[in-house]
This record gives sequence, structure tokens and C-alpha cells, in this order.
Amino acid sequence: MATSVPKILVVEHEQIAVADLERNLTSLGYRVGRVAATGNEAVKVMGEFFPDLVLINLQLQGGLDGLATAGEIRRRRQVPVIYTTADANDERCGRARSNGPFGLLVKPFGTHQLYATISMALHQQELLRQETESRNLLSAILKSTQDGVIATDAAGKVRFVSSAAEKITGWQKMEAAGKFIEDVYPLLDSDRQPLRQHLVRRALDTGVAQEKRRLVLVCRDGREVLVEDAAVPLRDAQGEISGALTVFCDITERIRMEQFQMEERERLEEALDTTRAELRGVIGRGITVMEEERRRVARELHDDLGQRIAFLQFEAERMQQYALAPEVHAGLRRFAEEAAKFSSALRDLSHRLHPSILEDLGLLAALRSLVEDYRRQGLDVTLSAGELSGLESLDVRTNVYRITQEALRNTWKHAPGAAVHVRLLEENRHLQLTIEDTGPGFDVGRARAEGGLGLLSMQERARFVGGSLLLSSHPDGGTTLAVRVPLSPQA
Amino acid sequence: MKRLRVMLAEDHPLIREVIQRLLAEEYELAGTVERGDQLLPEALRVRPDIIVLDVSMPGLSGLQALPGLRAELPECCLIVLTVQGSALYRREAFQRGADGFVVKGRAFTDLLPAVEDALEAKMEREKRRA
Repeated sequence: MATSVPKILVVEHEQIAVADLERNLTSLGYRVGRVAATGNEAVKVMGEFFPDLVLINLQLQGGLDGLATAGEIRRRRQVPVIYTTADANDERCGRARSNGPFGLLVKPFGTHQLYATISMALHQQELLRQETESRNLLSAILKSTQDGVIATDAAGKVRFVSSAAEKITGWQKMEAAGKFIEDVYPLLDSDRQPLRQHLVRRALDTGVAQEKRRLVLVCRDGREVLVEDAAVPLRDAQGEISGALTVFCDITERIRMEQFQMEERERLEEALDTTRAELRGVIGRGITVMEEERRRVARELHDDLGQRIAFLQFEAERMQQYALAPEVHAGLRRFAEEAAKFSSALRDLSHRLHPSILEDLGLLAALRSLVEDYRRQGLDVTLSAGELSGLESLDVRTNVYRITQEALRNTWKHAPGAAVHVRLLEENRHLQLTIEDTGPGFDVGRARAEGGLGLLSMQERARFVGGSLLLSSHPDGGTTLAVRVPLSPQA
Repeated sequence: MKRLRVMLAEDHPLIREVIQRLLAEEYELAGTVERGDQLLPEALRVRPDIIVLDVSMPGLSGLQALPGLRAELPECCLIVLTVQGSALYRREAFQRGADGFVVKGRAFTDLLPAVEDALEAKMEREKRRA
């Protein structure tokens, strides 16, 4: 309703009636904005004055009568019109009632009657305005949404088709109206079989909203479109089911996109797997090449240089028997001693490069020797072993040995005071190496992230020989490394 | 008295040369091989009293050859000669049937006494058995 005092246009040719009305209306809180004595004048006034309500004498004189004037006015503006009449028997009263719902006042009428009629008319006008507004809003929403909307009556006959629905189905609203929903909007399930019961029909039958489902819509031209569809029953003021509404959207593009993304993801994962496998291969070859190169150099040192030094020491000792001068004798002895030290240093170097003990004496002996070395340095480390077949391949031997070496190096570096136990077992043609220490634990994830190259190389060595490695560390203390590898990578 | 016959298994020529010369002072050189896998067949043919063998050799290591030699030639005196002086190798050699263990660099002073000791110990054992 207008916020200010409602403005009223009075169309009346009788001066006395105008004065009466003006007085009464003012006393009721309304304002007579304009007065027109004839219909033509009233129509003219409408061009510059916008009343909230018009009061018209039905028996208006001078050209247009009351009905004709109201018609002209309402053609220009949706404004409520109330007729006044001196003759209740005028045949126009009937027409006035039928074409204007806002009221007919028979003279003489009292102030109360006037007030009731006007406020009723203004109220009705307001309701009408609100209804028009919400209808416009609904229509704007339906126009703008990409979702198709089809409404049916209680029998399932189409009552409304939104423009998006027209576009998707190929049916125009006018052609579809009155047809059964199953004919305008036929649905198939994902196996291209007709639905046993249409979603709309089910909503009508059960009175329950049907949740969104992916279905296939057969368009008017026979084309099949993937849709996502939901249906809700509509109820009237009494709660009776008066129809149903189905809301749907064309998801062909979305599905295609999803499919594409899925395929893309699969392709990427495949590529990633390939890259991973290639990387593993490269790392594996790296390990092999490195070990072979180390072994070759170690062999060279041992097999040739080592023998030559031994020869020099041998000869220095042999020559001592011919050395008559004490200086020469002492010199030769010194020479022999240095050759012995050289030989020992060479052996250590060769051993660090590649422990030939692995080939000569086997894995357990090599681990024993390694553990002995650390014990001599001061680490509290022990070794125990189950029954071993010694059938593991040299690759397995080398890598299990290297992992142990790395693990002991880590403990010695980070927890030299810890007690360490190394255990080697064989079962089901697998070697099982466990290294436990009592040192202060650490965050494995962080150690790995912070460039734990040693960790990574242990992992890769285990993987390279077809095994697995598990490192667990407790922040309160204690770290366990568990390695399980088949005796030979092929096994 | 007839000189004892010795066989040498050694792949490095320098070492072979000096050890042959050293052994020849006391024993009759009955044969030399340069590969571990030639050792047993040659020893079975030559039947030496003493074998001085290197650990690291092509074909078969001295340590690997030991058990076979011990089994086939129970009377033969087996002396391991190596640059690997570690206690692990020494223990392993004796476990596999060696009678003596000498580090190459010390061979000039240690080899002949080691052979002597091993021969004596063998004789002692035989006497006790007899």
C-alpha cells in the first residue's frame, strides 16, 4: 500500500455530491487529489495525476458514462475503481459488479460504508500487486535458469513448460499443454529401458518428492539426452495434490567433461606409473653400475696394487739379510713396516668400496665384520642370526649389507649412545633383516622430507632387489628398520 | 732324505716369483697353478705334500677350494697365503681345513716357519693316532 495518504480521484458531475464526498473522505484520512466533472476530463487528468483509487458516479453525465470512463481509466492504469449510484436498479449496476470487482456504493451511503468499501478496494489492489510481482519474479526465474521446468496437473497432464525445458525437449509450451507427461518428457533409465513409473507420476502417486537421478530423456526428435531430474508434488491450499513439477538439466556436456577428466586422470596416472617405473629402473641401474664400478676398483686395488705392496714388503724383508750396514738394515725395516701399513690402508679402502668378504665369506660374515668394526669404535651393537642357506644372490647380499651399513652409520651419527641389535633370519626363501636401536626416536616423515637421502637410498636398494623396507621410529625412543627381500630378485 | 714336494696356487706373477724362490730353498717345486679352479685337478695329478694357496684367484677362491682339497688330499699340508690378514679370514680358513695362514707381506719371515709348524703338528697327530 502507498505509504503516504491514499490519493483519490473523484469523477462526479453533481457539485453537492462532490462536496459531501470531499468532506467524508478527508474525515476518513484520505485525500481528494482531483475532481473531474466528466469522463473525458477524468481520462485527461490520468495523464498527469496518478490516483490510488477512483470514485466514479455510474450515472455520469456529459459524454462518457461511469462504466465507459472506468474502462478508459483502467486501460491506462491498473487502479481500483469504486462506483457510486443513485439508482440501485440501474441495469448498469450489474455490469459494474461484473467488470469491476472493487465495489459499488448506493446513495445515500454512510461514512462507515464508504470507509469499508475503499479500504477493501485498496487491500485487494495491494494483493493483486503482490501477486503480479511474484508471478513476474517466478517467470523471470524460470526464464533465466538453465534448468528445464515442466508442471503438470494432478492427472499428469502438462500445464507449463519453461523456455529451457522447451529448448531441451523440443516441445513448445502450447503444443505440450494438455498432453501426458510421459509423452512430452519420456525418460529411460541408465540401461536405456523405459522407467517403470515416471518420476512425475511417482511424485503424484506418492505425494513424496523424488530425488535427483541421472536418466536419459528422449527428445521430440528422437535424440537422447542425459538429464539429471527431480520431481516434486504440488499441493493446493487444502493440502490436496494439485499437480507436480519436474526440474531437470541437460548433463550431456558435464558427463562428457567428467569422462574426459577421468580419462585424462587415467592417462596421467599411467604416465606417472611409467615414469615411476622408469625412474626405478634408472635408480636400479644406478645402483648396479655403482656397485659394479666399486667392485671393479676394489678388485683392482686388491688384486694388483695389494699384491705389489705385498711384494715390496716381502722384498724389503728379504733384503735385510744382505744389509751389512746398520743404517741400510734399519732403512729396509722401516720400508717394510711402511709397506705393511700401506697394505692395510689399501685393504681398508678396498673393503669400503666393496667388501670382498661378501663373496668370500658370505653375508653373515660380512655383517659380523661390520658389527665388529662398530664395536671397536664404541657402539653398543650386537648381531644374531637364524639358520641361513647362503643361497641369496650377490645383489641381495650387497644391498642388504649396504642397508645395514647405512643404518649403523645413521645410529652412530645420531645416537652413538644407543644399544643396537641386528638380526638376520631366513624364512620362505626370504631374508629378513631387523635393526633395532634404543636411541631417541625421530619423525620418519620429516626425516624423509628433509632430504633423507640415506633413507631414500635404503628404500631403493630394498626395492631394487624386489624387497620392502619399513622404518618406524617412536618420538619417545626406539627406531626399528625392517627389511624383507627374496633370496633372489626373481623369486 | 727326500725333499718334500710343494705346489703353489697364485695368480699374481710378482708374488708367484718370490714365493717360488722362497719355497725352493726348502722344498721341491712340484707344480704351480694360476687359477683356483685348476687347483684340485692339478693337485690330484701331482699329489704334493704341501700346497700354498692364495685366497683371491680367478675361477675359484682359495677359501672355496679348501674343503675339496681337504677331503681329497687328507695328508696334504694346506697353507693359505693372503693379503687379507683379518681374523675373520684366518678363522674361516682354519674352519675350512687349512693347516696354516700367512699374510703375504710377512711371507719372507713367516711362510717357511708356518709350513714347518704345520708339518710338525701333522706328524704329532699321526704319531698320536699310531
